Amino acid sequence: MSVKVLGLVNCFDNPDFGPMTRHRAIASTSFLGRYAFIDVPLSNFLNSGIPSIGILCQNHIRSLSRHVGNGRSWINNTKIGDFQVLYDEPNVANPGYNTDVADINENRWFMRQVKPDYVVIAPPYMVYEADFKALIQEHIASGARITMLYMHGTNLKKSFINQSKIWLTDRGKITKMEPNRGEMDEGDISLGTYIMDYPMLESLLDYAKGTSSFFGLSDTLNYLSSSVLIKAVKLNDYVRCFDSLSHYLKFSLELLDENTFHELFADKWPIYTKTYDTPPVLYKSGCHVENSYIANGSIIEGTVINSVLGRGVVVKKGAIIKNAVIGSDAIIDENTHIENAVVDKEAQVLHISEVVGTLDDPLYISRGDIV
Amino acid sequence: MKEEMVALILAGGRGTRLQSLTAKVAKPAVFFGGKYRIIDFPLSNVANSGINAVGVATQYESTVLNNYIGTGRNWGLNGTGALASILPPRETPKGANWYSGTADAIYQNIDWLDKTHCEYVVILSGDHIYKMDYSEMLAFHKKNAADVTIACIKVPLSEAPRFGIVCTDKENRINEFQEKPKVPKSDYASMGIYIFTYSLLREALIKDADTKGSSHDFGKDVLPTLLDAGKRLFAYPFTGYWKDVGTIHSLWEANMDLLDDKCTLDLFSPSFKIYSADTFSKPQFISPSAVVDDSIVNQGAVVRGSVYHSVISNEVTIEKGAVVKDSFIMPGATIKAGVKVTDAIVGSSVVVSQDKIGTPTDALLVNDK
Repeated sequence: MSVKVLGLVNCFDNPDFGPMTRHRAIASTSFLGRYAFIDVPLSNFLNSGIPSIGILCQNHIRSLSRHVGNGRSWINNTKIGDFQVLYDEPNVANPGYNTDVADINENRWFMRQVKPDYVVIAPPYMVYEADFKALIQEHIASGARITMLYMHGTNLKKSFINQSKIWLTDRGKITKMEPNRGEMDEGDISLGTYIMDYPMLESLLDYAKGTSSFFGLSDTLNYLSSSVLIKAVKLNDYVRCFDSLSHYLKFSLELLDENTFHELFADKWPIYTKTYDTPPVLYKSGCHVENSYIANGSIIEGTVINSVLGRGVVVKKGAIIKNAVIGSDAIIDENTHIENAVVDKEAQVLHISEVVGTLDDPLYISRGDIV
Repeated sequence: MKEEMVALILAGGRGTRLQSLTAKVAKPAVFFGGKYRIIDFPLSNVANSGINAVGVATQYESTVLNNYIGTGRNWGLNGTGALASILPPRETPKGANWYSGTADAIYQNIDWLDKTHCEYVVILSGDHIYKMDYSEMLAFHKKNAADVTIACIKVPLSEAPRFGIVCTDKENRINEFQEKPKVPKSDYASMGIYIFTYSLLREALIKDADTKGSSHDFGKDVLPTLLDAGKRLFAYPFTGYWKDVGTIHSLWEANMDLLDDKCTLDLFSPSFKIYSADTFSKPQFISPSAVVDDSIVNQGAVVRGSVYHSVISNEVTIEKGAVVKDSFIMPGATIKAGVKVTDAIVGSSVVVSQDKIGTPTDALLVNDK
């Protein structure tokens, strides 16, 4: 890539999965057993040849730092590239002022160091694969100030609540943006993913700062959508907005369908993650597993159907797991029954317990809890 | 740097008995256990023993192996003060030399050893499956004021002729060697793992290099010479799992051992992990039509057929209706729909479209690409 690009993962104003994200960001929440959500945008950046990456971190820095470490898993050249978790230390205790705009301002030193020509900003909860190398070329050719990725939604009354809804002309210029209040089912939704040249980002920051200290990037863009040339580019492939515990469970299980899986995971587009050096999965004699993703280190003696298991999960004899997401190192004891549930990491479900919810209202067992 | 003990791994051998599996890679780089290469075991042992400097002597088809070892990052051997060196034979002012024997491979790297300022050297083979904490063996070496300590394991007497056999007194001091004896005097076999006090090793290697007629081999030349000179050689009794995977059948057996509840290797122990390269695999998928029983399956595998008592590596595809039994499938292989594979090793990236049936006494190698 002849232009210098900085990728920013925006962990500000991400939705929450209820109690599951009380102590962690969605970015570092487990995805499909062996990943964290942030692995997807980070891998999109790496696979697109983006050499430097910053993570705009709103809170839960411990969980995030623990996952990304020094970032080597997601950059090519460790001297030429750079990888930083960008944290707004002065504002972290002032939730109102702790915005992505303030965070970038606080971390201008990083921008000065990287000296990007272009920036790509993407959130971790919108899950999709995109080749930013091609999209940046397209952006440059288009003459637009900002390119924004979007998708068409058909269920806006129940989904994408508070995500930016957009209106655009036939030629793809955005005319209006505002948060989706669920008034109509059909509509176009911003993926919170922007491509712009660095001076444009700086002027957005200046504009936001001059307007209100509470303004974040999406507020600023909503405000400016009619006056700045923002071009919308539609993603037609797999995109899901993981914005609630129920969607977390449903979308995770939906990916068990091989066609859906291949829509998300293209060949030659690896998703990189942190290695935990766990051994392969051990399936004991008499176990029964169907239609499931099982991450390494797990030991399966019981029954697992339509489920996603994290690393090092132990499923004892007679246990039945169905339509569930089980976090790493959880122990599911003999003769327990788990269905339509999310069991967080290191939890233990002991003898004859029933953990049964519904797909719309999954039962959740907290990290480390023993039930 | 100044290290108390450094490790040197002999990883130059071809391993001809592994047939076509070593056509393109050295034996230590052969796949094992669903996600490992054989050399992950000694290298992880080195890391888990608190050793910070390791040299790996490579020679035969070394590109894959050299790339794999890299900076030692996969085993955590790339930190400040750590050193993982690939040591191929090389040209010197005296000319170019291949490694002509196990002792010669160490002799040609005396400069490397000198620079580590080590007091002890542990010499390892790159082709054994086992877990061992070499720091415990070093404590044994020091306690005995030994010159050389050789890790030894009891083997069935019928198999003893395949090994270097040692005879010891009650204190584990070695008083006789038999290299692959027809009539073994004991069932105590050398595992090819030696701790040397470095000053003595250095002297012995220089002497051996100048000895006409020497084959420059530890078992045949260096150790018997030291024993004859009255040096203190001790046998370190090892009782855990250890397997030399030098043949197709023993490689197959070692993989099947992983499925045995009584196997003492304990691959799943979190306190003594075996490290390996990350494969950036997709999640492992067990489809609705799959049966997986009594097996080990790595990330990236897609199982749509039936798998019984087998070891399945990353990026393997078992198609619908395929039946894999008592087999070890290496990374990237595909077992086509309806095909039966029994008692076999399937090589990496091989596509199997016909039934392949070995026997439990003679596992079949399937490696036609």
